[in-house]
Amino acid sequence: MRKRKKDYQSRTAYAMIAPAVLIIFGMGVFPVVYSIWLSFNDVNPMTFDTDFIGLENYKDIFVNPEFWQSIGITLYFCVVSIVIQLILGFLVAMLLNQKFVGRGIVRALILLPWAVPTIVNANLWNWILNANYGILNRLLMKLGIISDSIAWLSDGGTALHMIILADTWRMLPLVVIMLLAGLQTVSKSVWEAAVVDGAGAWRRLRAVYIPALKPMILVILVLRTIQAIRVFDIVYVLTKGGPANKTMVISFYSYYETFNYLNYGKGAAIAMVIAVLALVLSLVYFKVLKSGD
Amino acid sequence: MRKTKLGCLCMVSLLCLSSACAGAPKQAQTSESDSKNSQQSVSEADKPEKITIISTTDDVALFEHVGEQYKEQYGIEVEVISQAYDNTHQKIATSFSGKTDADLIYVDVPWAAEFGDLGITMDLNSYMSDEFKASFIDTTLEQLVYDGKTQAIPFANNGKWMFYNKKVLQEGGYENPPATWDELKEMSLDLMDQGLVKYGIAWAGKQAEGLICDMTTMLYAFGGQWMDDEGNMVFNSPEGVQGLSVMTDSIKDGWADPASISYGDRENLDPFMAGDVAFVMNWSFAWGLANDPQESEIAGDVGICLIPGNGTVKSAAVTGGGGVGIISTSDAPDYAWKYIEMLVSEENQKFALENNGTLPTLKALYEDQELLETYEYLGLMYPQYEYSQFRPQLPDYSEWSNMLQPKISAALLGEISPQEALDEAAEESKNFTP
Repeated sequence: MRKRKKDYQSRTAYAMIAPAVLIIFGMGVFPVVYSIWLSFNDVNPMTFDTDFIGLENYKDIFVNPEFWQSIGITLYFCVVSIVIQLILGFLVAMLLNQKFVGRGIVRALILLPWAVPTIVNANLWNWILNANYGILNRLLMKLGIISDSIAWLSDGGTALHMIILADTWRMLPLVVIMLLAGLQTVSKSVWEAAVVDGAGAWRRLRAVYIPALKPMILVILVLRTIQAIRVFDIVYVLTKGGPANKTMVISFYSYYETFNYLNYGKGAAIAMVIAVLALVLSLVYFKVLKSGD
Repeated sequence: MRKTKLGCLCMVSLLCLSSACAGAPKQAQTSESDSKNSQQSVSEADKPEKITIISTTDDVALFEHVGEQYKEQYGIEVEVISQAYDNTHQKIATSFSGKTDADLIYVDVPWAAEFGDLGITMDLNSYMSDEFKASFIDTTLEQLVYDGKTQAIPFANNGKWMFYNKKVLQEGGYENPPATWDELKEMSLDLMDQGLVKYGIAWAGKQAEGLICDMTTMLYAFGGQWMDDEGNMVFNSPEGVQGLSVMTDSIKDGWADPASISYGDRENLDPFMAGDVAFVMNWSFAWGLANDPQESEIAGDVGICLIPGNGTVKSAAVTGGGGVGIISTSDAPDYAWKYIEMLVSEENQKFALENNGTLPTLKALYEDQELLETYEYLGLMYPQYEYSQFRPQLPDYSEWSNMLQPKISAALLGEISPQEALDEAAEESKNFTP
């Protein structure tokens, strides 16, 4: 009798989670497995017939200097944008953690860029950065910092940094909000004790805030790295990978390979490389940040 | 503790994988339901309930206008699926692999060879009478033929023209627009000296298709060509290098807008319409836009002239425009053809001209006095057709174009010389066969 009841219960439980499992399988597991399979095949873009070619796609990618160049550009983009966003985010979060009049409003306002869809953000920056009529040039000229307008997106180096700037403007709120949430966990008494013990600002930062924020920083690092490795929309709108491929990030390269040249197999192989890269970086974060525990 | 750690790792790896795969094709899932739909409509009747067109956003108004007439005559609904031009090639390719139930597709000139080679478009030769064929301006139809098969019927004629600011030239003391690129350069420098403009010209120098269009013009304007008669890529000839050098030098020497490197075909019109540059090469839509007082500071002062040559060559221009083809998986190709016939009729080409500034592809309309009087620019634009040049007709055109774009872009940036850029591109072009 008891056994039957247990069976019934577990059957109900399985029935309850079945829809969720199906969705996860259909939207998550199946495409991933299918992509892995595609990456070992030469895919006919018209019939979708596959021809198993083993590691041929990967070999093609790894001997292509353009691939390595775009990996380099992507890593540069990741490192610089995440470092800037973490530092800026921390400073803004510390500021917003102070008590001042209108703090609630400012906290709400800081979220605004995050609410703007990426593609809108990219178009916004396209106008801000416009060489002849953009507000950035106008502003810098008014301030007397530059005398001639700068064609921000016409130079490989500045173009990539402008993309980082546009990305930072949009992503900063996320970092700020998460760090702010982390700061709430620092109990006032610990902080006061540190002050009483005569810890200076730097010491308080290192001994009180950083340890408290560590889990949050880990989450931010993992999330932002995965997002940054996939950066696409901003590049698509602002530069299309140009000038001279100087902003050809890996996901845009994969997009070209997949949808412009219709090499689905190779495109899937590049996607796999991106996935492994994100995974390896995430594991490194885990190792480094958990080692202090 | 170990368990949660392991769980975390699993979550992260799944997150990484699924996010990286976000760009991977998902046709497999949609294809099944799509093919079910199409089977259904075949079994119901020969006459479809609706026909579907994949179009660019630029032509939606025209396609819908013709769609209304079509519905009235045949009782068949016309659905127009549209997206920006830049996404259209991809939309068509992925729809086709996903076994779309679309019937008609927009075919840009450089895509004809690729679509024909992959079997995306049907051969339309059997539908066309000799009379029908002869009614088109020859080049407009020719450029949509691949391997002897007509891939699409041209409904819009296009190409790049040289637009200039009449007022600025007059104030600068010039009665006529330049006939050679040397003259254009001198004129630009002089107009800049006189303080009438900031720069002479703005190119479409962004790493995109517009750059290949400007390159085509410059290549032929200096007597070069993409391919010789045997199909060998010969654009790294001294003539080709000279053509590209005019572009690179113009930026280096400061008589072209330095932001040209980031301008696409639409963006290089901004400085022209603001009165900041004297010359710009652009498609036919530029006429309407630059003459719209709400958009442009120079409305009414826009002139059109032949694109300059080098003295020996009088002029050269890249062709463009679009056709509509029937997708080979269409259930109702005969009804799709009826739509094409209606679309390219004189009446609807006039509508497109009036409402969208789309240039006609039928010879007869360029001889229509009434039309020529109403649309002054039709007469102004017609002479340039004689110097039209095609971009290479390659099955892998998109890939070839994407190979070439960064090289020319690097030359414009001054990272490599025009000779190096074209030599490298010519070497890599050997992997592409016409």
